[in-house]
Amino acid sequence: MSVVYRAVQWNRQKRIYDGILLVAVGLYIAGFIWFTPLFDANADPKNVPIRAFGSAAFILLTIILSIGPLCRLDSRFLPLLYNRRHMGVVTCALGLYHGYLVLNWYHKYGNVDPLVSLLASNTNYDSFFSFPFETLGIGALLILIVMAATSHDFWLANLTAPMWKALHMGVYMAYAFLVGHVVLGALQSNTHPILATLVVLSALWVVSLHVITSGGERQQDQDISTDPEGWIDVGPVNQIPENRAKIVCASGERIAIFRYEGKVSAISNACQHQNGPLGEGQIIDGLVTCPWHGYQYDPASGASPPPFTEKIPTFTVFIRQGRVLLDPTPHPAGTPVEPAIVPNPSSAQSPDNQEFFVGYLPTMTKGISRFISRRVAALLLAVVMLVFVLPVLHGEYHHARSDFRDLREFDGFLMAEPAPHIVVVRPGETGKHAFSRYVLVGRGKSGPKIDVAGLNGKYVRVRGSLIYRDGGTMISVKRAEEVPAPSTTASSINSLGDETLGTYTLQGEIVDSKCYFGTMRPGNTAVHRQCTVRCIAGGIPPVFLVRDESGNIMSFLLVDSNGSTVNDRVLSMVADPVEIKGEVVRLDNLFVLKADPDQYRRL
Amino acid sequence: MIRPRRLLHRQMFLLLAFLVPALLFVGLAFRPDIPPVSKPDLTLLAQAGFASNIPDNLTRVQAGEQSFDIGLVRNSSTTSSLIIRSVDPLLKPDLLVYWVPESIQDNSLPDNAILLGELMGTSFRHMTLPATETTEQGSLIIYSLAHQDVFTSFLIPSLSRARKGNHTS
Repeated sequence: MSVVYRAVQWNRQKRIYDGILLVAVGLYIAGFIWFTPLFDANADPKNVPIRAFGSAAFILLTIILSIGPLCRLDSRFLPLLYNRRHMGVVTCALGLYHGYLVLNWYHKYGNVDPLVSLLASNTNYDSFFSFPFETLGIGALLILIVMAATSHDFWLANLTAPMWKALHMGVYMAYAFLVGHVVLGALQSNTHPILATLVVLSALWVVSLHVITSGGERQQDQDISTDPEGWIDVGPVNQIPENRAKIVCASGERIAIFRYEGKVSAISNACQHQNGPLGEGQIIDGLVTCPWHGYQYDPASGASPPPFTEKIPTFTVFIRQGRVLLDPTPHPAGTPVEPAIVPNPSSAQSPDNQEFFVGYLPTMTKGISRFISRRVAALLLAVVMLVFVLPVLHGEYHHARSDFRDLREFDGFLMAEPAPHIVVVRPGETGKHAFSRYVLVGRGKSGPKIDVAGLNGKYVRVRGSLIYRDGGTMISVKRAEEVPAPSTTASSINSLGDETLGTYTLQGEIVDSKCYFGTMRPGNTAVHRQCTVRCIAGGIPPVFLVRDESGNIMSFLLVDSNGSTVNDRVLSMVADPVEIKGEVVRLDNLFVLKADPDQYRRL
Repeated sequence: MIRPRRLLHRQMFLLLAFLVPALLFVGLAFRPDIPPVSKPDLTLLAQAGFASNIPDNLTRVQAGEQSFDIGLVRNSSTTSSLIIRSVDPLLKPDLLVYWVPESIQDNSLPDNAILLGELMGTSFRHMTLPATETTEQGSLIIYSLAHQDVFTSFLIPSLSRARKGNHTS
């Protein structure tokens, strides 16, 4: 409680709470980033932090959404609720950084602004599995941002608790969006059954907890009927423990009837702060104390002690023949009402041994401290286990490389068709396939920024870096210039030719060659779809991946039946299972699939 | 919470209790999968050098830090094919497999090296050896054309031949 707004009203519990939170999140992210390359040497150093921050946000939101219902089931969890807003802000920060990393890796260096790329690269809103899962993540993040921005008590007081609470119930939609984001994104690419099981179990855990507790709340919300005189029979006064309350539901809302110091008073059950359940609190120092954040009210007047100004409605009660009778008509908030006097004060039930603690108190009671410590330790242990488990489960990094720091020179004939590439003469006695062909791309998500038309058919020296995977090799070109061909190779251009292998109907996936062959790991499947779109739209040649039952993967450069590029015509079908019927042509180590995109069939 | 918010919470979770499991079930159980190449089209992979029938009598060869599985298939009285794969993925660009009749003394590609084919990841590759009896001896050189260096080389081990035609070419 405070009279003036402060950024954070620090106290010992909040410092401990935030300290554990930040250390746990920091250890998880550092561990994830550090351990992943130990488990998988091919882990993409740009991709690993994206997964670390994203998974941390998902785990933290799962924990946050578990706290509320756990508190309903066992009030000893309440200390976790006390500073839950800080957890929410940290989740939002993790999600924001996850988004920032995604923008700077999958969407940067393209032909449009990264934000435009994020929002416009995939518009398959009419498809379930091709749905732009990023939009679901953005939706969740926007909700979390609004919640984080309005998390301070300033907004709580000015919006009023019911409005603020309604706004912050958006977190449930955010969670649903986030589950969709994970299922339609990461879990489409990563098919490890344990990872899927972990996500399913966590989602079912959250939903089940809330369904169970909301069912219990529903039972408590049954209105008690009034007698002919308009009174509600609350029950025997000696069933109300000293300094505790009995809660009844009347006129559509819950009322807390407190017994204290030989008196009985009734107030609204909803704390003005966050509408916390005052009836589940205790009377401390003669004041009703909210179990959520410790806001206090005089039980007779419903007013907070000066200088605080919070007020809640009060109700008239009296005791007849040992039973408490309640008038369900509320008095205006803060209206003093004469307490009913208990005729035989010694008849009160002794309070149960339930411990009570609010965060601003200097020390936690032993029982609650032991209970919370054990559960937080178990949670931290689970986080440590996840640090070891998740990097292994995320192991979908392929053996591929982009040596972008290792600039080399390559000599060969530059050919413009079917995609810009250079033809390098293989040494030794080579027979039929005397050349290796390396497709040329530019920096970022673009085709080669060299004079392809002017250098077509000429012997050139290309300076650039290699991108390679499983026998496929490309060059990211910085510059190219014509050079004299060695006498031994000058005539070999005459032996260049293609070999038609026939017409085939093939099923596979369209990817951008640059990412797939090494720039991104993974460089295909749904999680990489938007980057694929950006790359192909920017001029990176699309290739079609086909595999056999043994796992052998063959890639085909895609052109139309006239041999022209198809980049702009395949964007809507990337990363999906597609069937293409076309003519296969072999150019040494390059295989080309010639088919018109309007004949492609999505499976 | 006040009662309308409790009601809203209950309604939201009744919706989510249906929506989230349904999303998880459909999203995971019906994940789209790309079917493998159908049997008639396997000839295309064979033309690209992928071996489809792997002989049982493979020999594992250790060459430096790399291991290769190698087998021989006799095609006719004068020709044999080599089945080879790298046991672990090789992070070198454009790896070509050459044969030379002698053992390799230095880390360069001899002029008389004969190109057999290309390695691709850990896939079994089928390469026709030159039509002489002596090619079943000699050395194999794994050469990275893009790096223009010899990645590794090793003597062809004494290999027992699989039956004629036990491969696809």
